[in-house]
Amino acid sequence: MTRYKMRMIKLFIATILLVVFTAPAAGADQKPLPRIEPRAVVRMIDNRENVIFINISSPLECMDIRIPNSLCVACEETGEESSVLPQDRNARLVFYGGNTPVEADCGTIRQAQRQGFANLYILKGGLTAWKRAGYEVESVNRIPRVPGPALKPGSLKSWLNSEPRALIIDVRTPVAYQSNHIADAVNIPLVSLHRTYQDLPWDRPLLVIDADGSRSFLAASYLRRKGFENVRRLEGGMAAWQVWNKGGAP
Amino acid sequence: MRNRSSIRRGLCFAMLVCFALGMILAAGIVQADPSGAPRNCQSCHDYTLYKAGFQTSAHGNNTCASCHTNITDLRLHMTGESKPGQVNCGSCHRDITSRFRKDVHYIKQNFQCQDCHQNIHSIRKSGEGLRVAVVENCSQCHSREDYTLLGHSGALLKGNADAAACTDCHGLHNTPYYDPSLERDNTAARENYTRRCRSCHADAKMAKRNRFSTKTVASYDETYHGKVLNIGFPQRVAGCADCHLGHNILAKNDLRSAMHPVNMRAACKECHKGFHDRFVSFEAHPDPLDPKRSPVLYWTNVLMIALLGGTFAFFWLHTILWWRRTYCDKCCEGKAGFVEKTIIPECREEKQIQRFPVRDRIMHVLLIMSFFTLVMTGFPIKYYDSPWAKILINLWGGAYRAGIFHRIAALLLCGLFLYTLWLSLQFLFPKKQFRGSLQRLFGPDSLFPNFKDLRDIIGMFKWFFEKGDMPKFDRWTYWEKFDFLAVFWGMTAIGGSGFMLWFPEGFSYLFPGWMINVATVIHSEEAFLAAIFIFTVHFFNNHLVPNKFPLEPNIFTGRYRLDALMHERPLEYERLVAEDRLDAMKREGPGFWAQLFASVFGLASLMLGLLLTGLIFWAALFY
Repeated sequence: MTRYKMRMIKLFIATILLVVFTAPAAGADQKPLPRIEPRAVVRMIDNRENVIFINISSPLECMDIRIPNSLCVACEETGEESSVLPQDRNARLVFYGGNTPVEADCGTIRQAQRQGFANLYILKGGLTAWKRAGYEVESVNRIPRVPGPALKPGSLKSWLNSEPRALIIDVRTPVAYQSNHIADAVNIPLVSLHRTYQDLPWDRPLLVIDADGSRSFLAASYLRRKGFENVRRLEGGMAAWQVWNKGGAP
Repeated sequence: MRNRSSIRRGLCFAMLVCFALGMILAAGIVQADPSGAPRNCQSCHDYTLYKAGFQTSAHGNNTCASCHTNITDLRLHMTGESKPGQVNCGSCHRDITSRFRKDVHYIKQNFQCQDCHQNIHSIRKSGEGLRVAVVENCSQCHSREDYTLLGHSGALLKGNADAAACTDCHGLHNTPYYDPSLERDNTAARENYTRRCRSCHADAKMAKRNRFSTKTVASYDETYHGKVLNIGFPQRVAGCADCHLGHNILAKNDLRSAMHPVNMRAACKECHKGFHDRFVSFEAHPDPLDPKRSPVLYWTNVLMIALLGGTFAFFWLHTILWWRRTYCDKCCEGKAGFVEKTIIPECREEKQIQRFPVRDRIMHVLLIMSFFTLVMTGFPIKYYDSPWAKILINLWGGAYRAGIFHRIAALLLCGLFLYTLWLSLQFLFPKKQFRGSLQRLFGPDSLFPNFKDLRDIIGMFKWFFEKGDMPKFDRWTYWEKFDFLAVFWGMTAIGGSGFMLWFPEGFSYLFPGWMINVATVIHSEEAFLAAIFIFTVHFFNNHLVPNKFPLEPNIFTGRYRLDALMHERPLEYERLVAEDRLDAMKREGPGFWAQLFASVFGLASLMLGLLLTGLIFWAALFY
């Protein structure tokens, strides 16, 4: 009996040790990338290091504005675009988003890690910080902004009542959409809007919703430029909508 | 020969034709005059947009090529092979372009000039209509209901030139971008919007024209929020836009209004956690001079002013008369008084008695340190707009650190107060004996006032006017008893209100929010009373009176000269002799280090106190 107990204790300790020593190894793959200030990247460039910027926003956003000579590889599109990653595995890859933060599970970054890139960074503050620091940007295929009305979350219900044929377009990622969305909203991620906009009904009012209101303006402008006449966006996006639902200010 | 000349003529003709064609094309694109160039361009670009009003637009004196500079080959342009590049508005509007690079529309949405100025080919100088045009332009994208909710809009659209347009608050071409996740951005936003609100709402002329009160700003400045923001620490206090969220500035009973209690709670929760609903009755713009609006605050203010006035009227008169009498004794009448007897160097050789034990001396030193810390960290907030306030607060390392020191000193003072309370109880009920406590309370060793103190006050005033001798004091004089008992009142008032200001959320379960306003008045006025009383009355009574000037060191050395005891407290001396306790209390004079400490620490405290008195009066009278 005593021997049995001792054996059980040893087994228990061995299990604990196994968990302790394997846990970091399992988490090593998820180790967050270092965040680097725009000024530090510019210093690298000045030192003639091979720095390659990778914009992980949607193609529409990346072509609209990006850091000069960036590669456009959206997080969700790594399957198609992985070949655009550079050959030089020692290159310093700096990932950045526009109005979206770089998520830890971004497919582009995981692709780069799998391909053996050692020097990976995330641009701290993204394109916003880059612009605030006063560095240059380029527009390859800029989407001219078209003014259009916005809706406050508090007015959404009354607008939907007055526009029963309205279609709500949720341009967030499928994962975000599945976690929560406004009833009857359809998910058309911004990353594929340039391919799928023609499927949208031309004769119905459209309401574009994003996560926080920072990306819907571009999406709405794009749709207006493509000929959709009645396009609105939800000010503050889903974040504002949730605050409103919880009884926040209009 | 003929052939050769005809060839030459043909070549010349061809060259002339080419030259003429080149001139025409170049003139049409590059060197055309203002009237000619648009016509040439418009032969293709004949859209209404360009025809409508370019000649009379703000850019009417420019040619097409002034902006579209990179069309160098008309043929390629006409065939579509050469497209114009991006227009660089910054080549003329350099200042605006430079500012716009910091604008949120550029930073976050990559806006360019033409995105707002869509009618760029017919744009006119707006002149007086600019502000309305701004509203019209902004509300093309920003939900118009926001702005129209705001009281400013109705006035502006009716033609009131004073009413704020979008750009008055948010800036034109330099609308700042604030990242809500960065504290420095939140701080900058708070400062910016508070400054912009203040620029109109504190403007007396504008207020008179539009019949609003500038008290709104002045009263905010007198709250904790206003004072701390003004001293330069906006990180942790509310500015205008923290409560007046967004644009919904409406009547309080309108559910859409930021001032509606439901929305107020949400606004308060941004900074304050775990408060009772009544917390929102806190007045962010209190007026202690308006009895109708805040009667409790008004009467609190009246009572505090009466307390200050009464205390200072009595003790300053007392001080002046005392000084006059002793000065006359010393100088005018040539009387020796205590001076020669008490401060002469030989006194070290004389016998002294133990007046204060080490415990009391340490407590007094700690009291001085905590008191000065409280004054030097609190008064810069009280007089935030005086020139010395920011200098003093920066000596502490900023308002945040000063606040920490203030709270540490307050806790130390509370500890001293509670310990004194414990000692007082031990004095009254030694070894838990209740018998005889009344005699001890009113006895000669007690610091509690009795009828003899009243007689002493009358006697002292008679002495001031040379109508009698100085009263014979026992162990404690009436002014020393006042000093001691004032601490009990002061600690209750200033300590209680201080804790209420420190933990307003918790106190909201006991009191309504407007009690925080009352606490602010009490804390502020009582602080003034305590500081000025100590630095003037206490300093004079104990140190600066001519027969003790410049310092009475016995609270630091613990020793009291026997002859001083005989002259200043003859009843105590006689008691000690009668009770045969005097010999047991006799000690040698204080050692070198005790005297050095007493002189340096005591004199430094005196000088610092007098300096602070000057600064406080300067601020109170002129700011």
